[in-house]
Amino acid sequence: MKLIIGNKNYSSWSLRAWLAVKQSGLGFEELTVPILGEDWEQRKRDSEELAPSSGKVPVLWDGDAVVWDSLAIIEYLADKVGRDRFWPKDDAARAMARSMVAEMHSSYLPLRRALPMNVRATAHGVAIDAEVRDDIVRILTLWAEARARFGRGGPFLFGTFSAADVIYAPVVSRFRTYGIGVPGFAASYMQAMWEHEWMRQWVAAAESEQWVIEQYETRVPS
Amino acid sequence: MGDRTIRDPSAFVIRRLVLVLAALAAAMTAPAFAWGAYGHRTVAEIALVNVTPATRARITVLLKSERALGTPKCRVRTLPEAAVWPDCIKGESWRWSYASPWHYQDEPVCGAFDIKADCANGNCVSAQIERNRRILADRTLPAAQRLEALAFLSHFVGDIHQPLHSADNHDQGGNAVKSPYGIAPGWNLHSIWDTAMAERAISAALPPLVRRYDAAERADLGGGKPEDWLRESWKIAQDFLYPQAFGSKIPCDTPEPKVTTWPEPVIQASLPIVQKRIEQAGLRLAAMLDATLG
Repeated sequence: MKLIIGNKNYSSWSLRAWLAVKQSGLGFEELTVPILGEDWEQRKRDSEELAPSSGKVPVLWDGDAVVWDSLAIIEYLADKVGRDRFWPKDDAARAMARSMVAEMHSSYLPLRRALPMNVRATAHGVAIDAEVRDDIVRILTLWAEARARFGRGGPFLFGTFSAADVIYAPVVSRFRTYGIGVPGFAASYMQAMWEHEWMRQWVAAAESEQWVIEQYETRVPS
Repeated sequence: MGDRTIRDPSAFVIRRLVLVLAALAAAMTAPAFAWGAYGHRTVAEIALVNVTPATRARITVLLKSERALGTPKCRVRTLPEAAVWPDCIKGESWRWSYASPWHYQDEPVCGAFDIKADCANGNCVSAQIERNRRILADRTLPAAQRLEALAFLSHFVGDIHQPLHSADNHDQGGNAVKSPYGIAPGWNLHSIWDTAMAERAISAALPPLVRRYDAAERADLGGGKPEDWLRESWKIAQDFLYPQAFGSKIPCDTPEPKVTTWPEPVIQASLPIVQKRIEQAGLRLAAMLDATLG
């Protein structure tokens, strides 16, 4: 398998797909393309590997099969290696996990726009408006419920690492970057996520990248 | 760049979340939404699993007096709820404001352990464990008064096992020492141990902390008196917690730094200690309830 991803410092959807492939346990080759760089438009047009997604990352190639969009990649991999590797076994837990993942996939535009993922940055004190606050409170409420009802078997949202953690990993990074104040359960969850072996690998790679996307740096104090 | 509007979103988000979770908790039967109280709930759950059936039955009878407490926002339908109740009623300050000093006992990490010196008029955690145990044991008293004592007792046995409820270095039990919890900003040493560390320790425990313990485990983890439990916490603070926060030597002769960090290696080193303290608190509470009610 080959996973094509964007800059590790900025591309939140790439992080999700990368974690999903890691969670599948399957071997894969990864190719990082510097999105929004000088030759990005040209590269999008010319790249056969990015053609199926019309130039968006991530894209997963598996022989003749090609999957784009992080949620589709999760589902493809779950079909391939077994649902239990990605989703809780308990019906109620799985129902909530699927709903949370779908909600992340379809919602929180104010949060995404205002607080873009920027793994290596620290930008505490950035002003956030009411819509962003609503998104933050909604996410924390979902985390609280998942942890309270289903989180007893480990430090992650549904106890053991699942698709829900894959999909909310960039939120953890955003909350860290922008110094969002969170209650104890969320601080505990965020720390456990940040110290997960795969997150540490991703963060280390992001920190070593040289590419800078100016539009995502506007909220970082110079 | 000096034209940026700087605001700290932390307080707002946490305050708003508390309101949202309170509403959610009221609407749901799912337990454990009071996450700041996760440690207390777990201590009570351990106790409940490990008391005798007779004790459990008497607890159930006492809980039926909940309405007489007159705290509809702070429910006491179960022992875990009772264990959280003494924190919950802090919001009703006019009624139980006198109980605030009962949650801790500031034994100095830079001085000698002296249980009497740090307990003026019995207003400290170790004395209140004994006092509330006596009230709970007195079957001539009204059930509501004994239920209140059950709640205080269940809570204070948890508190006394938290090192920063039992030790101090002129820093309000770590409350005056700001620290991030790993990557999460906005905490202090005390709140880290009250909430985030408890959450991580409980959910990371294998086997789970809430279970029936065998006789050998009870003998190993249980036993002692409140004074012993307080001393254990004080020693943990002296030998582990403060040195982790401030380096190998506790700042006794110099001003203590107002800021520190609590990074992942320290979190990892703390987990077994926190887990053991929660287990000890649960089993000791169970033994105390059996001796008092059984």
